[in-house]
Amino acid sequence: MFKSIRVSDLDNSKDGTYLPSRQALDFALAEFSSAIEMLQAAKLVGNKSLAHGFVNHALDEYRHTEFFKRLLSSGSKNELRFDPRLAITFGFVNPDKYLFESNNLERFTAFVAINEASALRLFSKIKPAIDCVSDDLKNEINTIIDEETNHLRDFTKTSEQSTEYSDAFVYEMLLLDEARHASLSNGFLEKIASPRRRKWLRIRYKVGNKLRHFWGSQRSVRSFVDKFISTIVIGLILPFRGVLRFPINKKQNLISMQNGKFLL
Amino acid sequence: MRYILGISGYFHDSSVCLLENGQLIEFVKEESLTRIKGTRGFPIRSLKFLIKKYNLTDKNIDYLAFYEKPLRGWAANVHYSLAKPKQSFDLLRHQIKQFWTGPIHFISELKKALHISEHKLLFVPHHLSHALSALAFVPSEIQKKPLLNFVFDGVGDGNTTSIFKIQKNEAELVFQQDYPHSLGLFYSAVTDYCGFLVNEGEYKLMALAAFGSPLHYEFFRENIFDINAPSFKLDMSWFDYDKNPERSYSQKWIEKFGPPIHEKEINDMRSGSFQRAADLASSSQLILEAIINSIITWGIKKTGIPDITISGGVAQNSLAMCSAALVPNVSSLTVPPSPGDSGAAIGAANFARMLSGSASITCKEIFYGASHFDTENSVFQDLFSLDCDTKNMEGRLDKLVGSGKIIGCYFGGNEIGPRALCNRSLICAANNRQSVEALNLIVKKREAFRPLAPVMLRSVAEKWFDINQKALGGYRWMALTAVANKNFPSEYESILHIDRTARIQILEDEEHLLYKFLLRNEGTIDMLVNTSFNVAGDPIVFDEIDCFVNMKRLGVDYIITDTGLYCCKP
Repeated sequence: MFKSIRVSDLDNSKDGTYLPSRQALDFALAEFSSAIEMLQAAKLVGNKSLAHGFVNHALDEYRHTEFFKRLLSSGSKNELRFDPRLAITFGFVNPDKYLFESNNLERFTAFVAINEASALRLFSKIKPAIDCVSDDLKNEINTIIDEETNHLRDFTKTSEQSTEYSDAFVYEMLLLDEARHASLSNGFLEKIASPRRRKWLRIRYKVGNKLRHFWGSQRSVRSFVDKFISTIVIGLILPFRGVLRFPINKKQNLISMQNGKFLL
Repeated sequence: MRYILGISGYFHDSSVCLLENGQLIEFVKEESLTRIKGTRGFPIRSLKFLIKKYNLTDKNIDYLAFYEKPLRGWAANVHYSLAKPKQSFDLLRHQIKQFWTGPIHFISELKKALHISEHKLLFVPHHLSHALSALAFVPSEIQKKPLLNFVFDGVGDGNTTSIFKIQKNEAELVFQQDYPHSLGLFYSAVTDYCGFLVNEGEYKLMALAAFGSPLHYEFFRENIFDINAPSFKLDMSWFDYDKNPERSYSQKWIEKFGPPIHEKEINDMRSGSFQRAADLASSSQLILEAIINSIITWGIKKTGIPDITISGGVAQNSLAMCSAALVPNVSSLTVPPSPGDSGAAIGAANFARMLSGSASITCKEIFYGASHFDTENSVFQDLFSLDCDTKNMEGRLDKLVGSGKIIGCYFGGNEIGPRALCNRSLICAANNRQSVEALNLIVKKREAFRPLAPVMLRSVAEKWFDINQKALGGYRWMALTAVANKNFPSEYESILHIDRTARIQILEDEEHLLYKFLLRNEGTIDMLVNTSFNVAGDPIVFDEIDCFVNMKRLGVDYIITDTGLYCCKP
């Protein structure tokens, strides 16, 4: 995952520790958006070994998305649902211009490297919640893999049958994937950018993330501003309500230039 | 070459279509390129894709038609909400924000991709776009007659239901129902209540209906609907979609029908929640069909025109379309392959074509555009290996399908509707119960209450199903369901729904590889199961990289294409 999100405190209740559902949704959307970005990068990069690497990275991110989707739907009081379109609504991804289109390869790699490393830290932070949900889901899991550790390396390269693994196991793999993504991107960045340039890119993306998270965390301020402006706008258009109704001419032939010309 | 572009966007699935010298040649959904299902903004990628492919400029484009009046719909909804500004405050806030991101910016967003003379821009009324998209799929011999076009929608340009009379190049409005009284929004509200996503899960609600009893039908009729065909009114105290952007049903609805149902509760078919949802689905389906049929009956009586088309989002309800085809006095029914907003781009382009006095376009094909399975791409060699070339492909396909394998299909152009029709499909033998169950539950991870749809030759369909001859064309693109008759063989039972219906596809194209397969294997495998080539919740595959990613995620090993049978490299 290389789309950064802000992690708030976990829900601690008598039954255990849970990841707040909005947070689980954010994780799922961030993983999904990362998958989309990687897929687009694979289609555009024009270098077959990089493209293959991006495809494999996208497969990992899709698998992680499924993990967080299951986590989201496992919450007992959860009313949130995963909808891929929310990735656009919440600003995780801009389909008009994907990261690979708006950045050159160097900047794209730096972005991935820096954010994959932060993702690792985020996942460590939510570990107590994963453990708790995993216990709850135990009965629903059909197949427990005996030699989990031996399969780790193989599984990070393939994506099939992910639902047959326990949540704790998938989570461990997810950490490994993220570490691998961070290390691969870092290694590649070292090849294509000077140390000075790398330092500048790191500062730039870290500060950018912090500013975005700060603004994202100010929900009450944003809500107040939103309501305030909306009330003024509604108050201003209310007297003109009557002009917002446009009757249609039932008599005319509707397939006419006159009927096709206007926005109203 | 002269071109006409049709565009839909901003609300549901965005898309662009292209007419070349009056023939539909391309239809691209924005989600195919963004890889995010239901992408609904301005279809910038699809437009740029077509501009590049056909070298489109102001000089070779006659018209560019947008599928609605950008300001009309917004204004109509705000007009309604402003009547009760306090109650509708949240929705009004949402609508005001929509102003800054909605279709009003169509022209400025268009300019990012294409500079076109203003006199070539057309804004077609939304429901007329729907009606003209259906007209494009009416068989040419019926197109010459007067036609009655019914549009059953959520909402578009402030309207929810429309009836048009179309003869040659003239369209006349017979009836129109305004927001908020909407069959589409009613059905979406029940979808929302049953835990499915609005504008996405309606087909699941339809599938659930067969498991329930219409216990609430009378209640709906007496307390929620006021039906006086062709008009119907909803008691809005049961709904919140006209007040709240987050929830479609009201507190009053919860008090009557109980707490909202979570989607995961429905996965347990023995649970009380499943039955509660199924009963509501059954009741909603029945009232939907009753109202649609009463409006059709009224329209035919009023105009004396028995040849009808149905479009709009509600026309995607194949069960209701099956019921509509049985309305007395209907002599022919056409439901287009993409009756929703995405397909309305075709209607907008058809409007532009008909403006100049030309006849409506006639779409005989169901696949448009070219294959994007690029075997010359250097990445392709890294991802796929050739299993069998075209010379030996047929025998190999017979063996694989016969042995129960699930195969990905990628041929020629893409389907224009939401349903996979064998060009971007996953298939397996319909009489192999294990394969069908694996494809449905493990590969596609669909709900157990939704069986997969079969594809067959017409002779098989007529032998084992009750086929309605008045709507024959619709079976080519799964627009209607059909009921299995008493001759239906038991080994194919897994494709039947609990009410013994199936959303069948009749394959008519004799050149199609799967047509030849079915002909070759007659008596052994008479039906194939056909489902869309995608992971649930994602768009259908577009190019070779999507195919690889989806095959890996689904665990499918083989893909058959125009150039050979391939398998994924590990």
